[in-house]
Amino acid sequence: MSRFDPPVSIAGRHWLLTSLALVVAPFIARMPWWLSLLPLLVMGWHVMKERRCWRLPPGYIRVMVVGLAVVGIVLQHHTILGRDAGTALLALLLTMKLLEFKGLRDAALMIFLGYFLVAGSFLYDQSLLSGGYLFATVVALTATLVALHHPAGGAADSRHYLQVGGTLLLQALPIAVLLFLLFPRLPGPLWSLPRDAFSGRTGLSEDMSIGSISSLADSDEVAFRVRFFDPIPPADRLYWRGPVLWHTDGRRWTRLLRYEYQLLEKPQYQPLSPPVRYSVILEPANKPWLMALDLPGTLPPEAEVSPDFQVTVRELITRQRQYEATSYTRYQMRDADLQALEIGLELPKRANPRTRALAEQWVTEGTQGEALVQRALDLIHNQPFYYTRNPPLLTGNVVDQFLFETRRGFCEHYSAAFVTLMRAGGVPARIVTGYQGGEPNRVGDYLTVRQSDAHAWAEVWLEGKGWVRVDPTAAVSPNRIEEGSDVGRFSGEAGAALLSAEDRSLLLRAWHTATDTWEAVDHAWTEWVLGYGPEKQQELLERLGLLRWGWRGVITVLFSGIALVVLIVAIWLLWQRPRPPDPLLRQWLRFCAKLARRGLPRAPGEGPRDYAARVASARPDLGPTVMEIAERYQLLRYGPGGADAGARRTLAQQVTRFSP
Amino acid sequence: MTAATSRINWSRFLRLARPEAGRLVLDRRRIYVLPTRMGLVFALVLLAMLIGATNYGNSLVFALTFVLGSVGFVSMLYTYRNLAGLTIATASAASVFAGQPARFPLVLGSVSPSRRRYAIAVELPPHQPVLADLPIEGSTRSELMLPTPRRGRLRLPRLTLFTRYPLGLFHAWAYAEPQEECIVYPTPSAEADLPPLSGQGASHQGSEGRGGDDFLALRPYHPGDSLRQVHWKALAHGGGLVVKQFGGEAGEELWLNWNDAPEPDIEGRLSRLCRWVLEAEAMGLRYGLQLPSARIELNHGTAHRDRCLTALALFGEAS
Repeated sequence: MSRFDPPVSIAGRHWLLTSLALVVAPFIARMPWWLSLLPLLVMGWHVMKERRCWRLPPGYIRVMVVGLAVVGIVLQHHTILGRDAGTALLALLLTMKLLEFKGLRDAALMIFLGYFLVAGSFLYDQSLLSGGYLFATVVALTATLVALHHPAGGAADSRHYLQVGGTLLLQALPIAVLLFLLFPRLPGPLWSLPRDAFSGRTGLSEDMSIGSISSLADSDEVAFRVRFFDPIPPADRLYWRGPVLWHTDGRRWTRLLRYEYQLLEKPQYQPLSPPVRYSVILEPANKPWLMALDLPGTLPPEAEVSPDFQVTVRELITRQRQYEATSYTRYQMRDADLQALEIGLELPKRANPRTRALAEQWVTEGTQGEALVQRALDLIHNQPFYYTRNPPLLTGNVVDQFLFETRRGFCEHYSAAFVTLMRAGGVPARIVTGYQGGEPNRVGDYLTVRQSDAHAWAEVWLEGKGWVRVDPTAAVSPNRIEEGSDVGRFSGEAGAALLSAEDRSLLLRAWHTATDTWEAVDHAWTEWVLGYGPEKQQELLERLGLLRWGWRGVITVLFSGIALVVLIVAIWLLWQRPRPPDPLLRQWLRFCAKLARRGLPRAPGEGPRDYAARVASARPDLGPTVMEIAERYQLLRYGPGGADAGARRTLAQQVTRFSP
Repeated sequence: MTAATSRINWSRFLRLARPEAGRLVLDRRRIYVLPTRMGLVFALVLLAMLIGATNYGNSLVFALTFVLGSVGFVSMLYTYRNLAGLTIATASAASVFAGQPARFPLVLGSVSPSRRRYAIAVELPPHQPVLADLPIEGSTRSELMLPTPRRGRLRLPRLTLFTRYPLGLFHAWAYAEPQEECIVYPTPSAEADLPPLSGQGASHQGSEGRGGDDFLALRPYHPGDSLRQVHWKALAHGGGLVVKQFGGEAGEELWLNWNDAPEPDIEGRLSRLCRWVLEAEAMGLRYGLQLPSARIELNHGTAHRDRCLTALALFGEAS
């Protein structure tokens, strides 16, 4: 085999540009604008080269452009390795290659690289929409590969390439599904991943500074989904507990240190309501904690509950995880650890003097304990405090500024201010971050909790009651809520009223059904396609009874299944479907076959007249009939007017009657 | 050793390609399929993707890997199908003089005419493969051109038909060993002067004779007869193809003798004799050829000329 490297046809070049543009588009969109100029320029040049016969930029310029790309990547990512930098660099180089690819080989390699980059795109986004886009990209890449291997193709063949590419993919799908389900999946990374492997995942963090949660508020990303086995608790009890924050410098709030956790004891509590059982599918956030409804009861065995009731696991959660848990939405805590109460009163000495002065003034006025809590909530309710997602920027003594000057804020402002007030007033308090509420899906019967549902609230320690949840944000007067329809949920009644008002509108209900259906489809996609990993596979195999024979059995079934599918596809593809010959020819062939059986086959290339003459001389008894049939056939075939239905029928009858 | 040689040896080992005449149908026993180098690269890319999918625990990368793997596999069937049922018909090439390319007619057809075939390559080993498409219900005619460095019998060597359509991951090929040949005449030498005329008609040497003017008889047409001699009127009257034979007594006769050629070497003499045959025919002489191994009696006409040239072409070969 010599080097088989024919040139690429015009249609092939068009396909190449189209499919590669589809491949690199998501990468270009992720680049900073100054870096994205580079691939756009190169593609523009390529188009001009094809259309206007521009010349290639000289070699040193091309080398310089590659150098620029590498420098740009390093400036942006500080490395050229890892997921982000690596894929961005590949995308850039692939675009550059457009300018100077030679023949089929170069182009085919570019397509393979394109496939690889599609896989790279999946590391960023596995949503249904992105999946659809990338599947279309794969179809285009495959069509390009077909076009490349048809060097004689013209513009008219473009549709054909698409058709072949699409058909190939459809025919391959059954085998792919078998492989997807049965190919043995190994758990976990095979080696340690680059640090940026799962970056860009949004979610709660270990600490909270003013502004950190409101940055989440705009994200529509799903944080987790919950299916309840019991009735869904009312909205004002749906507090999903995350990191609990104790330490503060007046501005930033952080968790307890590891050794402090070891010193503390977990307080006892008394459930006041029956347990609620539910199952969570948690999206990976690259953090070592699970989300549970306040307060967590039973949990999966690998999970641990910290003394402040946060549920943690040992490793970072980098892939979707499903678990079951029970919680008690009403409870009564027993006395807390004294050490915990000490930490719960800590305040930095210098920060926020006005807030501390206010609390101290309240205490001197005799307000203490529960009354102090109520007084603080009343302050938020009665004074002109506004709830807004775009609070003014705070500097310096942020709590002071918020409480006495701006009075516009988000849950983090309210919880931080409230806890500061409580601690200054001698009430142990802490901030709990997590999620609040969730959006019930009417189609799929589950709850979707998004990043925009992230919330921060407070817990105060009251004598005889233990730690009690207080949500200061809910105290904001409903008529001072700006652009926050989602805030209605903070007080149960207000939320309920809002919901029923919505339900009154038929149009709105239809809209909700539509969004809920989409949401349910997305959920199924997440649960069954994206979530199909080693555990789900194990479950499926057990249910199918395949594990009885171990992995050998699974592989046997896999290969027999593939063999069967391939057989079906092969029969479909290779079955020679003979086209019905033209009816006239059929009669003639019947006639010839009859004679052949009597030892008088027609010689190849022998015309009807010659054949008939030869037969007539060999078998004079058949002569007249044979001559007549041959003559009629010739007349019908070559004579003027040709297709006379009557004459055709006569011929057919004659042939039928003919028995040499 | 390259992949190519190993592949050919394999096929020899598996099945000795036998010479075949006329039309050849490629069926499953004649078609071989192996992955191409590009196919192996593709497999490596898929392997990398599989490892990546496991590492990142990414379901869609798994899905993509499996889909692409299956596509590659199914494409093998497509590649095979593109060649299966292909028919190859060849014919002998018209004789040429050494140095002119021999043109063997080649017709690619299909036993399942309802399908188009794409990018079928026909390869004669030292040359670049020639690519052709086959339309639905159609055939493709082309010519295989072979250089003719020397006179003699030129056999059409074994053809390789291959295709990599649609994805280039697999190489399906088949061999065809057509029994076609081309008689390559010697290159006529540059000197045109004929040897001296011999026989009765020596005195009449000149340019007037063109096989004589006197009508002799009618005889059936043979391929090679001049159309000018066809008795068209007889054809018009339904008498079939006959030619009028002229000649008369004349006939400047010329024996082209091996020993008359001045060249010392065999090939030089053959070249010279070739030139003489052409000249004698052009001048309308009756000529004969006397070779050490054969003798061709006096005659004239293109058929005679070709007989003489063939004898020269095959000189020294077992005929």
